[in-house]
Parts: sequence; C-alpha cells; structure tokens
Amino acid sequence: MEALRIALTKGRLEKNTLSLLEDMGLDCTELREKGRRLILPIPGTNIEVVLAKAADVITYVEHGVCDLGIVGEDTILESGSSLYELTDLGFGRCRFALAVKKGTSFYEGYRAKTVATKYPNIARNYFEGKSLDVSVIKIEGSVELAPLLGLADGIVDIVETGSTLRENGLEVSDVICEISARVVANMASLKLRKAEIESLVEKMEQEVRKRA
Amino acid sequence: MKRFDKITPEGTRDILFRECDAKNMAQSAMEKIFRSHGFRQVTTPGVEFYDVFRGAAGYFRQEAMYKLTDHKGRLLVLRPDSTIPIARMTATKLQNEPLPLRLFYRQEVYRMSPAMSGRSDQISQCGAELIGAGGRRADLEMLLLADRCLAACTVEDVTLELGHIGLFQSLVSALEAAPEQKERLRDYMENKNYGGLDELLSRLPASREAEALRRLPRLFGGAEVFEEAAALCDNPEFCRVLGYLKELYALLEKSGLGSRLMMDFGMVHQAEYYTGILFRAYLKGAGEPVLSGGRYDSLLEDFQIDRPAIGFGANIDLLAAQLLAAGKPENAAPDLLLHALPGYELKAFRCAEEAVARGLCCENSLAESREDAVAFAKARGIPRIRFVGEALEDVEVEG
Repeated sequence: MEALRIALTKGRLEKNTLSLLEDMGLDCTELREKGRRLILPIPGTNIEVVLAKAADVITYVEHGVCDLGIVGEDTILESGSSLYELTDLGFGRCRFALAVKKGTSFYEGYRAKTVATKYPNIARNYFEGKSLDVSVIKIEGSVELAPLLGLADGIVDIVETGSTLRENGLEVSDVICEISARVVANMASLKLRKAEIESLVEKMEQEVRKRA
Repeated sequence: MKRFDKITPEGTRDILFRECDAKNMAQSAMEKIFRSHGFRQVTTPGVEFYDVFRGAAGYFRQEAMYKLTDHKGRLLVLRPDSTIPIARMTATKLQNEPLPLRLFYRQEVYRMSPAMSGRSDQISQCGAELIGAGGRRADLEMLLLADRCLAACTVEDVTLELGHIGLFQSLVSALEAAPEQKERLRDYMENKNYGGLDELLSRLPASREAEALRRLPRLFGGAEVFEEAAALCDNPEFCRVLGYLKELYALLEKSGLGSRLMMDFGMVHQAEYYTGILFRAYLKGAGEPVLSGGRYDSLLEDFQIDRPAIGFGANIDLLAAQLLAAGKPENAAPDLLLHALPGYELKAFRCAEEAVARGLCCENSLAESREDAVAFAKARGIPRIRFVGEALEDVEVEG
C-alpha cells in the first residue's frame, strides 16, 4: 500500500511535533537520528515523514505530493493556498503583531506609513482590511532593525514572549491574530484516503486534548 | 536589453507529441459521449470584456485574470472560465432555442497563479452545460454524464463527490451573525478549518444550527453520513436538502456508482456561483479535483434572463497526465518509411497511399542516400523502410 506522506516543519515546531508523535505511540527514532536523510519512515506504520521548511510544507501538501502537513498558521496565512486546515495542535502558540518604537503611534499624522516584515501578504491584508495605504517592505532577517534604522515606522512579525521587542525598544501596537501549529491536508488526499487520515488526525486530537 | 525569445511565460509550456495525443484521447472520449447524448459544441472567444466576469458577486478575483485592452482602451480578459461566457452567449444568441439546451465545449481557460507556485496558468477544459432545466432529472443526467465521461478517459476508478450548497446556506441564514462573519464561516467551511470554525461559532449565540455547522465539514464519506446529518438539526430547509441528496444518492448507487461515490456535506466552493448540488471528482495522484461542477440557477440572471442550469468542467491536463503515467496512448512512430530512389518519387507517393489505405502510418523519406534513410529511420524509431525503385525492397531497421 502506498505510504501516507506527512510533511513536518523543521526548526521551531520540530521538537513539539516529534514529542506529539511519540506520545501517540509512533516510533520516531529514525526522525531523531535522521542525519542527512530527508524522507524518513515510521517503522510499523505506512507513514513516511518529510522534513521541510515551513513554506515548502504548504507547497508539498498543496500539490498533493505529501498528503498531510504540520505547519504554523503564520505560514498558511502568508501563502494563501487552498488546502484543508484540520486541527489546531495547540503548540507553537504566538501572535502576529504590529510593533512600533516605544512611545510612538503608528497611526499618527498624515504621512503614509511604512512597515517592514517577513510576511508581506499578511501585512498587506491587515492594512487593506483597515483601508489604509501602507507601504510594505520585505525583510529577510531581523525585522526589528528596520524601525531602529529609520527604514520603517513599524514591523509586522510573530511575537512569542515579546522579549526581543523590549530589548530593542519596540512595543506591540496591534495584535493582528493568534496563531499556532496546524495539521493541513491535501484536498484530494483527504477524500481518497479518508479513513487513514481521519484515524491519524483523531489520535493527534486525543493527544492534544490530554495535554490541555 | 535582455530578450525573452527562447522561453515561454511562467505558467505556460509547450506541449509535444504524446502529451498532445493524450490530451486528444481524453477530449475525444468526452466529446464522443457528449455528442451521443445530444450535446452540441460551442466555442467562445479566448478574449472577453472584463465586464462579463465582473458579474454581481464577482466570481473571479480580478488579480487572477490576465488583462489587456482593446483599441478603444476598454478592459479585456483572457477567458478565466467557460461557463460564464456560455451564460452570456445563451442570454443573447440562444434566447429562442427550444429548452433545455445541451451544450459542450473544449477550450482553454487562463488563470494567473501566484509566482513560482508551479501551477499552469493555461488549463485545457472540456465540459458540458444543461441550461433551462432544474430539478432531480436534470441533476441526475449531469451526474451520470460526468461519471461516464471520466470512466471513458481514466485508467483507475475515479471518486465522485457530491454535496449541496443548500446545507450550509440553510444553517447560516438561521444564524444571527454579521455578513462578514458569515463570509468567514464560508471560508472556514471550504478549508475544513475546524479550529477557526469552532472559535467563530463559539462567539455567536448558541443554536442548533450553530452546532450543526461545527459538525458539517466533518461530514464526508459514504452513506453513513446521512444518518449523522439527519440527527444534527431540524431546520426545515436543511432537512429538505438532505432528503433530496439522499434521493439522488440512492439513484446513483442503483446505477452502479456506489463504491466510487462519496458525500461531502461541507462542500461550499464558489458559493456565490452555485445554487444547488455541487460535485467534484478525484483521481489518485492528482492533488486537485479532475472535474468540478454544480447547479447555478441564478447565474443567467446576471445577463437578464431567468434559466435554471447545471454544468461541469473536466481538467484535461490532469486527465492527460494520468493517461501518460499509465503508458497511454502508445508512442506511435510511423510503421513505414518510404524512400524513393531517384526518378521514382511519384511511385513512392502512390505506394504510401496504398499503405495508408491499409491502415499503416507512412512517412516520406527525404534523405539523400540509402544510408541516411536508414539512419533517420533508426533515430525516429521507424521499424521498416521500403525502398521504391523499379522494384520494391523492404528493409527491417535494427532498433
């Protein structure tokens, strides 16, 4: 039988995802000792795990080369792709926020404002929703730099504890939305492999409820 | 200046040989079925006025349309869909035709995908519309027709999925919620975003309808989902639609679709466009539906005529890819290369005609010498050469 492929996000969500899978009774030794391999089987099941960068998880699932994915909602929102978003896994919780230099107001004055962000689509959608013309600059690295250097009036970014902001003299102006890790599914896969996917997702949900 | 004269724009590609054959194979199989059931072919222009697609509800996002202007500066688009132009055509040129109208088309649609997404912007579609008829008999006809079409051009079984926009709409219209909230409910429903749906519904006044909406996207599968759906809610419209779907399901099951038919009560794609049943078909290996359709009773009102209608379109590119993966159609090198010796060109041509009449595929050799002809046949995969002189001499070509 054809393997059920799950794409997992490397990095920030990886540890939590692995412990979730292990608590569900899946053998993740191959994943823990992956070396340089990118496609890893879970012994005793027909599941294959693919480790990928967050945005690529979405791409693989949307094209149907992976059936399921575990990825942060930030990436889903930014990509605007069409896939099924089945379950909130509860970990990887953080907020999308607009942050500005402490003591300043983003909305003050008549001058058109500029924001720096790694998430240009989310930033653009947010300000479009407020009928505001804001120019969005895409920055790849530490976006906190942009307002400090005078490139932007604010940043749109993920805020977990807020300590990076504080250390750089920034503060949250608006909370845009709360996000967390999600299970996504390819639209055709969910229909064609309903039983397998549902039983796996149900186990995940049980585990998530146990933790809560 | 950099010239882009050797590449094609992103989202487009050249299609060669066997891939063309596979597309033709799928298209011809569908066309044959359409024609044999009284459907007539129509073709609409590749370029239409933007206004045609701007319609009351804006069915297509403007950023997904390829735009250009005519010589008067009016905005044009490359056709992003075939059903809307056919509605336009029906409302203008076919007003006095006897109803119902049975139409089919095979043409390209163009949709601008996000950059670097690996998607095609040019999609070959083949589909049918049944205009001027509502109700169960028309729905059944089109569902069976879609199934027959797919059976004729697929190698493995296709899963056909059926839903009805009325399930979602009956529940949502009973909710006390702002229009934006209802729109978000629809998005969550479409993406089966269980979390988002729960969160939004928990902020609305509790009702049986709200509870039913939470469950709705999870209700997909075989006949068992009917029971669960029936227990959800006693909203009269909801129950009526459910009863109707059950009736259709029973009929389709009887016609032999049983094992490849599934229901999805949470299906709501393009809700502004569709008004009744919705259906899609899935094929293993294709990450998106290979066919999609539904009933659109109010679309023609946008063009000032009132006609119920239902239709579907199949994605020929996906169907062709599936045929190719299964080794279909076979690679058809010619059976025979005819090489005329000097002075025997007309004779060679007559020989070719005779061979063609016997059903062979013959290619004419334009090589300068016998050796060149053999080398060409080898490279082209032609198994036999016939040298035409005073006598005919056949030579097998070693592979």
